[in-house]
Amino acid sequence: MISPRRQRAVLFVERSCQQWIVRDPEGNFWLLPSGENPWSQRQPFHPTEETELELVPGHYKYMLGLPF
Amino acid sequence: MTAEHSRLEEAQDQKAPWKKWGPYLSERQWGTVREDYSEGGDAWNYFNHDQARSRAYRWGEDGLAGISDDQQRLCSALALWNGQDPILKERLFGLTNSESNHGEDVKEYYFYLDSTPTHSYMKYLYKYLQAAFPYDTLVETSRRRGRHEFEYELIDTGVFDQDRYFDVFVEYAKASPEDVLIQMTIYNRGPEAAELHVLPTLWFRNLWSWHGDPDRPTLHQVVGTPGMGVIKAIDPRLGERWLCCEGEMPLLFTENETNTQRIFGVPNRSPYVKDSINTYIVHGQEGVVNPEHKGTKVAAHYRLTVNPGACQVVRLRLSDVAPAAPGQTSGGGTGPFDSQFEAVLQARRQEADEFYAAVIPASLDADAANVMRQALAGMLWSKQFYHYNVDKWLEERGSDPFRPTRKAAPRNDSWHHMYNGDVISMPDKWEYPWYAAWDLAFHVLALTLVDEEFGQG
Repeated sequence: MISPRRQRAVLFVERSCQQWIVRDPEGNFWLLPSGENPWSQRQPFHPTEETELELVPGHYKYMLGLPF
Repeated sequence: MTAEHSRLEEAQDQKAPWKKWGPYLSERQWGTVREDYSEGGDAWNYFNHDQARSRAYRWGEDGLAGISDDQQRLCSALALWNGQDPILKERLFGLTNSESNHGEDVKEYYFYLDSTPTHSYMKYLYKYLQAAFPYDTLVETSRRRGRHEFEYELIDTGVFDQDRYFDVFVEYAKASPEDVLIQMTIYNRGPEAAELHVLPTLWFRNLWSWHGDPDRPTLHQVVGTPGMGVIKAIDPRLGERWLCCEGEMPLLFTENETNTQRIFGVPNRSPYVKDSINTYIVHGQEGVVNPEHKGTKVAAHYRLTVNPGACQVVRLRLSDVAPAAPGQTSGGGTGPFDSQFEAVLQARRQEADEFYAAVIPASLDADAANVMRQALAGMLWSKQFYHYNVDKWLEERGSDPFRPTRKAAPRNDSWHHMYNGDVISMPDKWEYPWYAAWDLAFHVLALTLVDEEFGQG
């Protein structure tokens, strides 16, 4: 059966604050601390015009424990 | 029929997996299209040589004189340090396409000296400097040269003057399909005694980080093994293996995981990352290798002083049998480094001679026969496990072909149906570590001379 794939999350790093940033499938941004189970400790993140997000390959999502 | 022909027949008939272990590591996984997740498709600069020691690969592994199983789960290769280099020599260095006046070019001296088609016997030579490897000089000088000038080679830098280098020979001999003997013979060609750190390294290709796989493989030190260091490797699919390292030496454990602090600027979850052994040896930093002696990457740390003109030998054995048993099963010995080790090595050398005597036309003189044998060895060493799931790769870079808001990939955009996962023949495992139909068509002719099944496959 062919079914449309779900929208994916997108991973970034923000080097100035040394944090992982995730844009979830709904378009919300989250800041993830380093350490174990970072997704469970996520905080809302609001990028500004000065924010420089560097794209991280999607295969790192498992390492960060993302649920999608 | 020679012994090697019998092994080929057993492998073809699936009676014994003689080709399960072979030289299936690439010489360069960095700077390849598969590891490239850049926006513009700049494979060389996205994942460069400087990152390779710190960043876990997604699709394959590389290493010096290395071997792996045919699914590349468990890998073994050589690392070296002369006390001068800024980094461990874990992989071959070369110039990227834009750095060299004639395009990409490996700047190392290494030689595929011998191999039988089942890899029951293999021999490799790497020439390692006693001075610091001139990484920057090679890049800067090559960049300045024009297209009509010669390439700037390693030997042009003067670092081989007075023969101040080591010849590092690595030989593999299979006692059985799952029992691989490894002998490293290191000659000091220079005029003075010189110290060398020899670090045979064993690691698992990182599959767990990219799949959320709970079945993570493990390596740990086996205690109570006097006269040798023993590492037990456990993988849910591969099973259990033991790497025995002759002598007393520290075993340095870490994880084959990305150093996110160095690569992405984000703190590491654990101090044990891919380049921890480098950090420990080169920078003397404590606390970066696991004191619990477990992980997914380990190196045995031999520290040798080699007199001028002399050699020293390091012996290892990778087997699916626990360490006390291999010698017992092969002829009454008591351990992995009993007299049977040398007997098996000698036997495989002789069987390689007999095999090539049957393959190489008798009309060739000794010199021409040697050229032909080494050329075939080069082709056999150029086999590589090649893994590339293009659909997955596109998805991971946000170019999912079935997503309405997808962004175009810089290459392979319409190849989402392509899945590769096999040992195949490479044109050149450093300069050209991916396959091409045109090259393979030529490879078939030569490889069929020594391994009809592989040539046809």
